[in-house]
Amino acid sequence: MQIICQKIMQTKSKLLDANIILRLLTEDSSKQAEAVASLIRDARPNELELPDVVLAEIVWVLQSYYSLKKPAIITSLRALIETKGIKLNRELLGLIISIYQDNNISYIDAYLAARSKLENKLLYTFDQRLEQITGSKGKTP
Amino acid sequence: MQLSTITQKGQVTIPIQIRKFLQVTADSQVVFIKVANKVELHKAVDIVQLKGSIDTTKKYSDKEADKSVADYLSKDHADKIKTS
Repeated sequence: MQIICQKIMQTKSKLLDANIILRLLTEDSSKQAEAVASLIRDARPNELELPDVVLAEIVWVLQSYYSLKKPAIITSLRALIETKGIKLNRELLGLIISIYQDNNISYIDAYLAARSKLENKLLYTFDQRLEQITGSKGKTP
Repeated sequence: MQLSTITQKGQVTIPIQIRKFLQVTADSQVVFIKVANKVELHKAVDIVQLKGSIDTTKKYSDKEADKSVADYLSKDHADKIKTS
């Protein structure tokens, strides 16, 4: 039983906090950045999970705390998609990035537009720009 | 231009000139991306390669970062109220 539990623990994905990725990118502590680098380098495919809401936090901190512009944020997001040890919704994030890149909208608006497009769902909003981007799926209640 | 044949298993040989061009060797990761009605192939750039890529003198603190995010979100909300 114990062996089975250990096996499950080993194969289960592990969650990542936003500051793990942020401290790798900023390398404000070389010790911490190196620890993150080896964690990610040694991870099995999809072992380290980045939930959607943590991705949003990473974008918000890069934008508001480090004053990064969109192209630099997009470079980091693409690299996250292309990191095999990291588990995230690659199809969704890929679509978010292309919408975020092509339109003057926030990350969360791009996230909603991408969900609406990918899942073919109506999106209720009072934001006219987001309604336009979402096309026929955008609705004002 | 290079032509390759797909095997029964769906594998395809990337011609040596293309591997050199992309700077990929055995065990490299590559990415396939749909672009219009074609697929583009490139060498994966993983997040570890971006270590230290943000040029900043700011020290990270969870509290300061949370405050910036909160300020950003309230400003974003205020702007949206004005326009919608």
